[in-house]
Formats: sequence, C-alpha cells, structure tokens
Amino acid sequence: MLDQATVLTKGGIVLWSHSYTPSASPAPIDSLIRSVLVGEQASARVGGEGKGDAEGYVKDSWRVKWSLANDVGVVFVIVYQKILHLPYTDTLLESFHKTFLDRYKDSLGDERACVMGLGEGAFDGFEDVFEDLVREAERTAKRTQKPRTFQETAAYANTVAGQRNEKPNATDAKPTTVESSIAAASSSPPSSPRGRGGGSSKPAESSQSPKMGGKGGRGPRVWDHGMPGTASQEQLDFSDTKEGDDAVVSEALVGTSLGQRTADGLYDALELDDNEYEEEDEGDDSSIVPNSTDPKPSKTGLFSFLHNLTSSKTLSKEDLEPTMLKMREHLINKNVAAEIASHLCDSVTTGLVGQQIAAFTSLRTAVKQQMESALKRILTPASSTDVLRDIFAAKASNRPYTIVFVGVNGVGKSTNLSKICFWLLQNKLKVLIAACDTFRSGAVEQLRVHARNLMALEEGSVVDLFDRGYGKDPAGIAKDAIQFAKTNHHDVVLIDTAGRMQDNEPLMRALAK
Amino acid sequence: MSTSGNTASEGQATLVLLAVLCVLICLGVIALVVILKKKSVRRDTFLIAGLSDAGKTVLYTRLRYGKVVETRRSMVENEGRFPLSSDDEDSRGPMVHVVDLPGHEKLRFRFADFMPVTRGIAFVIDSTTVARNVRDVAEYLYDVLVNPHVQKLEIPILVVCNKKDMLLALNEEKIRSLLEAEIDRLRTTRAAAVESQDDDRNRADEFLGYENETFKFEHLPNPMSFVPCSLISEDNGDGIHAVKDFIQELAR
Repeated sequence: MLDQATVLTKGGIVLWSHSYTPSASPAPIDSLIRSVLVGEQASARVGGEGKGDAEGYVKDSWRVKWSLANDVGVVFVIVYQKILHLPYTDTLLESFHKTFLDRYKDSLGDERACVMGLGEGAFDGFEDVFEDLVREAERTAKRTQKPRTFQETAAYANTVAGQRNEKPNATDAKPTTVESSIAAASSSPPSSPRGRGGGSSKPAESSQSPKMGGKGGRGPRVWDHGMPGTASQEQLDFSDTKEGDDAVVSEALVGTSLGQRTADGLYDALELDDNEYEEEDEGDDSSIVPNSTDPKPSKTGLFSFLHNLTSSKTLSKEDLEPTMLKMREHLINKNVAAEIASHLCDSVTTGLVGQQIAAFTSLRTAVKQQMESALKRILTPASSTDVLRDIFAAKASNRPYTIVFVGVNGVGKSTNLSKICFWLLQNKLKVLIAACDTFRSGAVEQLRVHARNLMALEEGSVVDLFDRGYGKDPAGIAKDAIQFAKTNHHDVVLIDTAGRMQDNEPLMRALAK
Repeated sequence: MSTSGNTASEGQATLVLLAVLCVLICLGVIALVVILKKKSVRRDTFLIAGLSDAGKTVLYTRLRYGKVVETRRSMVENEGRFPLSSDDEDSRGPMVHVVDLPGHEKLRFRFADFMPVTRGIAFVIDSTTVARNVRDVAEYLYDVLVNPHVQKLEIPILVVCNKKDMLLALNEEKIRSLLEAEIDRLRTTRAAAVESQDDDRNRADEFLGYENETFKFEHLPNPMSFVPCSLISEDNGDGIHAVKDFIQELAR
C-alpha cells in the first residue's frame, strides 16, 4: 500500500530505496526537501521531533512522511497515496528509523563505507526486514481497531453493575484507561463516524469516575416541589469563606519597587535600572549542565566547569529545552508572532537534537549558530530580486511591469513609491503611477505633488499619474491603469494602495482581487 | 665596599639587560610564528557549484569514490579530503579538498564562505534545461564571477556541461553564447541596482569585461573552459577526465 520508502543522507546520496510501484518518481522526495526541509514551509512541520504531523506533507497525489536522524545525517522518507488513509505509517516510520540505525550503525558514521558498500549491496538485505516491519505495523494497527466490548462503553458505566464495579476499581482503571485512550486516539481517524463518539467517551469516562466520587462528598441536590429549596442556600454556597478578610500588608505588594518621597512629600517612582538586562546573559551560561545519562562521575566544582566546556556531548531535547524557552520568550518580547517564534524554535531544535557539539562550544553558541543559519535560510529570497532585469524582460514581451505597494498603515508606502520612481527614472524608464488609495484623504494629491516634482527633476522623464478620485473600487482603477499603460507604452506601473492590517479580512480579500 | 657595591649594581644591570633580551626574543619568536601561520593558509579547496539537479553530487561521488550513485537533492554540502584517483591503479594523486554545494536557492550563498580558500571552481550545468533556465544559471554564474575573491585571485572556472547524452542537450558553444548574452544584460542591470543594506562593496569595480563591447568570457582574467560530459555513464569519458586534469593541475 506504500509507494516508496527511502533512506538518504543529508548530502543527497540514496542509501537504500524500495518502491512498490513500477514507476516511482523522485518528485515527491525532491519536493519534500525543497519545500519543507530547506524551504521551511510552516504548514508541514507541526508536530516537532523532526517528523511531519499526522497529515505529513502532501504533494500532487502523494503524502510524504519523514524522520530525521541528525547524528548520522540521514533522512527516512515514506511515500504513499494521498487518498489512502494508513494509520500505521507513524509507527512504521519510527520502527524503520530505529531498525535501520541499529543494523547499520557501524557503517553509517563513515560516508566512505556507505558509498563503497552501496556498490556491493551492503544495504540490500534490508528489504526483507522492511517487509517484516510493514507487516508488524499493519498487525498492530488492526489489533487496536477491534471494537470495544460492552463493558468498556459509557453505557455500561451508567448501569447499576457498572457503578458498583467502578469505585473499587478506581485505581486499576487508571492505567487501562490511559492505554485505551491512546488506542482510541490512534484508531479514531479510520473509524471517524463511530470513533468521534467512541473516542470522546473514553476520556470522558475516565474523568467521570473521579467526579462521581467527588459529588458523593457534596450530597445529592435537594429539589423542593421542583424548585431548589431555600434550605439548600447554604448547601449551594460554595464560596471560600474560610480565609479571613485581612488585607495583605503593603510590603508584600509593593516590596522593593517602592519609590521615594521627595522633600515636598511628593511620591517619586523608582527608576528602571539597566542592570537587569545584563543578568540575563550571565544566567544562560549556567545552562551547561551535564547530560543526565552521562555515566562519568561529577568532578569538583572548578573542574566540572572545565570538563563541560571542553568535552563534546550529544544534545538531547531536554538539554535544549531551557535555552529554547528563553529564546522563544525573547523573540515574542521583540514582537515576533507567537506561532512563528515557536515554529522557528522547533526547527532549530530539530536541527540540533542528536548532534554533537564540538569542544569549547557552549550550548548557547551552538543554538545561536543554528538559529542564524535557519534565519538566513528563511530570509534568503528563493527567486532573483533583480527588478531591472524583470522590467526589461517585460518590455521585450510588450507589456508593462507592475509593482504594487502594500503594507500596514503608516509604514511609508507613498514615500517609498516616489523614491523607487526616482530610481526608475534615472534608469530611463517611463513610469505610470496609479493612485489606488481611495480611502485616505489627500492620498491622490500627495502623489500628484510627487509626480510633478519628479518630472521637473530631469529633462525628458515621463511620469504620469492615473487617478479616479476617491471612494471607487481600487482593483478596478488598477485594471484601467494597466490598460492605459499598455496603450501609452509606459514601462512600469506603480500602484499605491491603502494601508491595511493583515488580520483585517475584508480588506485583505479586496487586495487579492 | 665600593667595589662590591659597583659589582652588585653591575650585576643588577646585566640581569635587567638579560631580562629585556629574553622578552625581545620571545616577542620575536611569537611574531615569526604568527607570520608563518598566516602564510600557510593554503588555498586547496575545489568547489562544485551549480543549479539544483545539475549533477553536482554525482560528480562528487565519482571523484571521491569512483562510482556513480543514485542521488536526490542535497540539503547540506558534501565535503571531503581525499587523494584524487587517477587512471593507473597504483599511483594515487595529490590530496584534494572538494566541496559539493547544494543548489537550492536558499543555500547557494554558502559558496561565499569558502571563497578565501578556493583554488578552483567546477560549475555544473544541465545541458538539457539550460535554454529554459538561462536566467537562473547566468545569475548564479554572475554572482560567482563577481565575488571579490574570484576577481582578485583570478580563480579558474571549469564549466561542466552535463547530461550531454540526452537528446535535448545543447552543445557547449551554444551554451557559451547564451550565457554570454545573458551576463551582458545582467551586468548593466546589476550595476544600476539599488544599494542593499550590508553592501559596502563598490559596484563599479564589479563590472565584468569591457564596457563598450559585448561581454565575452575571454575578457575575464579568470581562465575559463567549457567541457561537455555525461557523468552518469560509467565509462571514463572525456568529461570526467577533464575535471580530474583540471583539479590535478591546480592542486600541484
């Protein structure tokens, strides 16, 4: 049911590959590497740990799931058809990863051994092992899909027999409900019409048992002729009256932030001290703690510091956790969106887990390096930014080149539009400015002044303004402007739009037009 | 008493002189070591660069291990220091350091990190798709040529036109003229480009070739050569020979 399974190094060499279809194309794997692993496409990376999430990465008609092994620099990929829903692929991927590493761990560290071994078929024996893994994974998946017995449903828990059996079994129920809830969670996708009711009743059942015990302490509700009785007012009052109304002493409230009183008796607030910021840096170096599984005995204070500094150790997720938390907080404090900050931290963690940091590098430096390379990757433009080249290409095919200026309110769209217009004029191009900002008062006049001044700057420069006044539909004006430019042989059209926030949906939809 | 006092003071003076001499010698030794170390930064790296899917990783494995392997897109660079295998089995060539850079657009800029130690560059082109991608190929080649190290050190570049066994492959003369025309257009637009944020290099210095003539690769000080080859075919054709000769000559 799978299409392909591949093991490749991060450098691109295929170590082992098996395809179940006669025409296995390399397109899904290439696309995976291009968009996700290098291109950092956010949608496919939810789930952490270097694995795709339940949905994997979808390309054309395939679904791709992958797993990274950072210490040996190897990627495991499984490809199957998108329309199939195979619940066992996650477990299969994990066992694939582990088995392959166990079997070939001696040769995987050495690239030469791998490649020379490739010719001699060093990895060929793995096909049978892989078939076994697939069968095992399918079998495990089928086992958890068996329908529940009546005893396990919520309906039984509501019967008298079920209630009687529940209280003494409260402690036993805990491990089985955890297991069965995991089984329910993993099996709920294929049996979704039934599973939605089944899956949600399981955790509800486990939460019902403690609640039932708790309600027993409160006693049953008393209804007086169908209305809550007045005597039960005290019963219904659950407020915490045990604590007194003592006001908290002001010392504890204000404490060291209490300012000073000047001579006039006026209160002067405490000034912010810059020393707070330096403490953050010193605190980070203490995060170099030895790995908990390190068998070496801890040396004396001074030498353990040196030992940590000079030995190279493999990173695990727990080592990285405190640093990444600090990094994420720092990013959010600097106004990066929370989702993006966590995505960035996840990708840095995935890239670092399992790697060995060199001697004399602290954890912080390694994280910083990884973060730098991740940011460089994200910020490097994927296509060329040579605008002039594109303009000449458009000119050759007889159509005007359009540049639309979008942004939040007040960032400088109209000002930058005139600066770019100046640059284009210096390169002897004919420019048309389209005033599609029909919302802000004075926008059209501002552009008119810019155009007039730019025209006056140099002899023979052509700058025209295309406007239709205020209140009209900007997309329509833009369309007419492009048409006008085409007929009058303008080279570039610069379109100025109104400022809009990215979460303002109707305005963003208008922009899409 | 006075004589002993004199000798004591003389003794002190010689001691001081000795100490100063020692310090000077130490400083001299350190300075010598530093200067020698600087000189010994040898440039011995060969870069394999090119667009994605051109055949760089195949070239790397052929150079290093002598076999052709199946490859996918590279995510990180393949780096290795090995003796170049030559035709006769007994002699092993000189040690070379070869780096195969990924062709992904977001990772291409890494070539700039290796520039100070580069001895030669092998630029791999896919002959079948070059007509479609001539803009991207030319831009990458332009970025490599315009790099200050490449210009100053006149690093030789070998352009490998790969996949010549396929039907649609262009021959290297055509590829050369396509690239020359494209770079000709590029150098004017790049020279007029807007200054970017961390750019303190003078764009006028980067102008390739001569101003009033159309650009030709001969105008460049770097020795450039074009060689067609097919890296997947197992036999030791001319292509892989040319690359090996190129590297061997420079590694000497």
